[in-house]
Amino acid sequence: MTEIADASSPAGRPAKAPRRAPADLPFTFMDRALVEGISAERGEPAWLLEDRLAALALFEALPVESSQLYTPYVDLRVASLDGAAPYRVTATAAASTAEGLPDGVAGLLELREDEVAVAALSDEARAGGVRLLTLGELVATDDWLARDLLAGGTLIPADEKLAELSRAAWSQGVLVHVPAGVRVAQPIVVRWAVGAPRSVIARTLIVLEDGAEASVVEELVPSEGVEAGAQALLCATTEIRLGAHARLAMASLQETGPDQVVFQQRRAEIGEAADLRWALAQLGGRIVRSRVDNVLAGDRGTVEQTEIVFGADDQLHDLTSYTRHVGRDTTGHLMSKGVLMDRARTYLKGLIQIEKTAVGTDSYLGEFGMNLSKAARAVAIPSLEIDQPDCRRAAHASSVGPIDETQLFYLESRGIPPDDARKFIVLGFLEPVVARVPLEEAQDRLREALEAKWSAGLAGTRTASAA
Amino acid sequence: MTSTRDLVRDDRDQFAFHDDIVYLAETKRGLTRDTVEEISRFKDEPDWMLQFRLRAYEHFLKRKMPTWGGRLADIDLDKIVYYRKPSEREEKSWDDVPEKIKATFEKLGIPEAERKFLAGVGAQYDSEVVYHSVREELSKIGVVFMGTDQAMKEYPDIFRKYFGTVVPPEDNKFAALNSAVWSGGSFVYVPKGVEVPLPLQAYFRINGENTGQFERTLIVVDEGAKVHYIEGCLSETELVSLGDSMVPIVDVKPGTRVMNSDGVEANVSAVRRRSYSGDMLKLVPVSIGNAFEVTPEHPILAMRRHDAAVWNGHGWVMDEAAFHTSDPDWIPAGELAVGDLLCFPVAAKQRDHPELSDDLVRFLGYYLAEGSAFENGVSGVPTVRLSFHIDERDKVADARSLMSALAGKAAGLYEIPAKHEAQVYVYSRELMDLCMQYCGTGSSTKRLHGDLMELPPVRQQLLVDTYLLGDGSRAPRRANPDRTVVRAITTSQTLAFQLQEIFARLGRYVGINIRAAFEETMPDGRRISHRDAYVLHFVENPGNSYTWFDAGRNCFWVPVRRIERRPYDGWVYNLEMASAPNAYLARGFAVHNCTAPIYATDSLHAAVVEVVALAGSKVRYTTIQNWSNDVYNLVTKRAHAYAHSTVEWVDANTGSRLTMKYPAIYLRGEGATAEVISVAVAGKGQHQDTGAKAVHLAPNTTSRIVSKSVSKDGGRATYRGQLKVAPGATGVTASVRCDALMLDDQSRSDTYPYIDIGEDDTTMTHEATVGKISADQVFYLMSRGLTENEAQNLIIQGFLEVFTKELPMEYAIEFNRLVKLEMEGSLG
Repeated sequence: MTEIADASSPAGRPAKAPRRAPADLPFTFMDRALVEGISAERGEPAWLLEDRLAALALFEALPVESSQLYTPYVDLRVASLDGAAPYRVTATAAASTAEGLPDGVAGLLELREDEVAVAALSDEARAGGVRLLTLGELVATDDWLARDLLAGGTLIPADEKLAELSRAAWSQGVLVHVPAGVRVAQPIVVRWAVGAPRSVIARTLIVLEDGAEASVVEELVPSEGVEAGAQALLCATTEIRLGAHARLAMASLQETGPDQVVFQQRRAEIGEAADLRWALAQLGGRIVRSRVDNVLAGDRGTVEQTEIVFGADDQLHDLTSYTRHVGRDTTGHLMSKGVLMDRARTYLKGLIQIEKTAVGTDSYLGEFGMNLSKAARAVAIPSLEIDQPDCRRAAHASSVGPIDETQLFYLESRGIPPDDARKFIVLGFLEPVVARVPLEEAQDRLREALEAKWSAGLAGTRTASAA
Repeated sequence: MTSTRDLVRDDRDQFAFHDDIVYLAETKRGLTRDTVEEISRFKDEPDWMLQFRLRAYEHFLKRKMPTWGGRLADIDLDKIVYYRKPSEREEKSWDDVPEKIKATFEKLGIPEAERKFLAGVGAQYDSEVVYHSVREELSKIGVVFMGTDQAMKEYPDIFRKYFGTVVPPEDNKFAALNSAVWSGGSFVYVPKGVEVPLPLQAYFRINGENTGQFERTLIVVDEGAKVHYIEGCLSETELVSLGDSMVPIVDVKPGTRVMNSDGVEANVSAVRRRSYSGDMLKLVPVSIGNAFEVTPEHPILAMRRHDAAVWNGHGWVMDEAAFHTSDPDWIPAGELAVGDLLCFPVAAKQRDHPELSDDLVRFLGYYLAEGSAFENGVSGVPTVRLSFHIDERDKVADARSLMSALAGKAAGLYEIPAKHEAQVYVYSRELMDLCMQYCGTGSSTKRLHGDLMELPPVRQQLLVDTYLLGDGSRAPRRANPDRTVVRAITTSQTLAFQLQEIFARLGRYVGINIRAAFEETMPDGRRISHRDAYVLHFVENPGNSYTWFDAGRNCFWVPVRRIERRPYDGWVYNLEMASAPNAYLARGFAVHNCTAPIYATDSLHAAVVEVVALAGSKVRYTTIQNWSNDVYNLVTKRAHAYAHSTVEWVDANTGSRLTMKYPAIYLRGEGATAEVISVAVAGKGQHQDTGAKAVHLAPNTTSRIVSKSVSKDGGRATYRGQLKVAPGATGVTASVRCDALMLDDQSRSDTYPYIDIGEDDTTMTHEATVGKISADQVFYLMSRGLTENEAQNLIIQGFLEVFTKELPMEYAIEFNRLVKLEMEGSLG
């Protein structure tokens, strides 16, 4: 605001920094010295430094958006992260007791900034050989497995600049490992508390071996006691490997603070007859750029991805999903839903790729937006690239519209006040994701968060219209 | 040329029928500032237009080549002639159009179309509008329909007001290019409240190789007016049906019946022409007279020598076992080698004609060899006369009795011992007419009537017997005196090929050699000049055979004796057959229609179409794009729709190598409506990157986009569209639907819709599906008696019906035919 005032007085105009282009990076900390520094300070083996440097080379070579389809829809201008220095050395831990474990949860790993707050795992899970630990701990204690998972066979997409950033400069990370045939009935919770004006650069690996079953709830929440004003970065990758017949339910609830910049890159490789269910909720953040890659590599694999966005104020959610069908008779069902208030912007980009080998594919992509404000903007780009016509289904659909007046009318005719009726419709629109969160407590929290956001937005709209 | 033999030749010397147009003004190849200024000077344009062009040129230089969409790297902008002007001035009436250009248009069938129902014709030849006619009633109601250049001069105010406002030169690289070098195109102005009752139409075609087509169309429809504009791009002639005849390939029209590779007559559905520069191959079989020329990539039905023959110490002879187990293949001419076997099909059609008595057939054999039929120059008496050597008494007697019987009166005999000649003659109009009808007259123009060609072999044998008695000679073979060589000489090329065909049906492959024209001096001092003669020859009692009859496939296999190459630069032709197999005969040999020729150079079509639909008006713009497969079609089409107006783009793309075209509508006035129906068929080597764009800038506007694409044979169909609702455009309703059909797994289908909604009360829906033809549907239709091909066609036509039902009937038929052709090309 002050800058605009300055601009109006010709004499007192300050020397402005050159304007950033939409795809320019909002930070300058990334260089070889940082990568080498992190590796040295953490005392890492040489192979890991090598892997970090390979990633750095890719990071430097890649554009922010590698798909030309989406280059007009990249906008990082509101992010400003020069004050957010990356963490270098962080605490490590392995969940070796059930101490501090809440009810109904098989494991909990809570990371606060660079600290580890809780690391706990139920006795049953431990008995089954399940492992829940930080990556630092893994590198320090199991060089062989660390090498196998982190270097060489990494799932991080080689065409994604921000994912390579994580691979090059990560300082915190989590491994969830479920051995073959083990079924973990209760969810494992991984909680990240972020928001101090720092950059948390992280990797998460979830490995389910053949026939394993598990559910994971990832919670991204603001750190306590962080003051508003300075932006923070969470740049995180998630790599999921599902062996044959493995089943994973993966929920992620992103409720970070209003100054949080979030870059998320997730990739899942789904083996033969394996099954992956995503439930992704994007509520918080100043600017969120997320990409999910589902690769249906084995025959008869299934992925179901349900994603919701609830944008308000000036939030920008930029979400991409790629579904690549390689094996035979695979199934993909992706649905993204967005509710937009105030001046929020949401980009929903999706691409189904059916390769020549993927005979008998069934793939659906739906992108639906609900605009609740005149100033909000929803962009949907659902695309198809098909090389094999012999499919059960290859379709996408999208729609963008206001609250359905007939639904509203119906609810009002039942005596529900208009504001409540609107709330029910909006929350009902978003309910599919809530229902898919595998932890009841997390479901309740998510419902509360959505409701709170709705009420805050409503209040904001009222003050705005009153003004 | 007259003949009943349906034989298609491939004669290069006939090809130059449009090469002799004199271009009155033509720029150098490549684009510089001078080119732009030169074009403006040629056209005697006002200064503002020159400045417009130069501004566009500057932007063109700055702008990078698009890297998205299709592959553009092969376009060489420096090789293009940016402006060519074939005739000096705009023509008002068809009669004033220069003959040569008119002839080209007549081949396109334009006057036909005009006579039928078209309201006006604007035909663009190369880069300039040469012909425009507007029907009187249109002129009367004030509709302006003329060339864009003419409009710039005659309607400067309205022209300048709208030109370049819908598509500014800075819009994209190819719009900039068009703005810099544009020429030709149509201008339409429909005054307030006027409804144009019939569609307006313009034809465009690219004539010269590497001539860019940069036409510029501007359509302004004033308040409350209505118009439907149709643009047809035909670079491949799709002509009306003619009768059958033996003709050079340049004269073949769609609908002509020619013999296909199965020896069955079939309709030609299209004649394809393209310019070609490179080697031309002459394939010379052991029968030299059957040599023909083709381009190296042209597929020929052949068998490899090693698949069918063995070396017996003297020559290659049939290897029975291999021959019957190996299948012939369509081999590109360039890959054939000497000794490979070409397929010479035997005509399958057979029908007896009882009105042709055995006596008449036998007589006609004599007549073909020795006879003439004429009206006596002095008395006008109808005469039929046969000439024999005076010693051939048996033949004379036989011929004389036949002649007497057929004419119903005694034939005369006139001996001229000095010339060693015996003439048999009769004065009979009936017999003369029969001779003329069935065999023609004159030694070099004789040919056989179709009825004779169809007779059963037993009866044809009668004709051949008496023919050989007359013209034939028998001699022991020089190399092997045990064998007798039979020869017959005729100066009629047509007759030679017809007899070859008849002999084939009688189970004998007869070679044709050519004896070049020569003069000789007889012992008595007379000089005799001989024309080119065709020598039919065969060995009566062959030992080793070098050509083999293949009863199973009802054809002969004839080895290639030699292959010649020569450089060639000109037009080449190709035929599309209406039914499978899509192959025809070149000098008797089976040649496949070549659906995807490889082009040495590529043409660019970068047009700009601007439509201004003022308040309450209605415009529909229909395009059927069927450019040949070497054309890059990069077109910018955009309309501005003002309050309560309706703009519809109806757009079909079946041709071109790469099309990048996204007809756009900017809805600028409240209550405006936009509709885009886009259809694409991508075949072998084609990429149709098409779609639509609707930008809602005003409240209560509506748009509907429907896209249907079909990809096959490795073709790629891409839908790329944008739907944008700007803030402030409240109450928008929009829908996008894209369906794609893939016919095989070599093909590819992509869908990239961009939906950008900046207003809360927008109602937008989008759906897309991709699939293949359902086996159930095909099975059902086949159970109703359709062939698989017909069933597929029917399903595809149903799939595309959303488009065809928007077309005037004649265009719908035409379009269905185009699609069908594309389909059959894939199966033939």
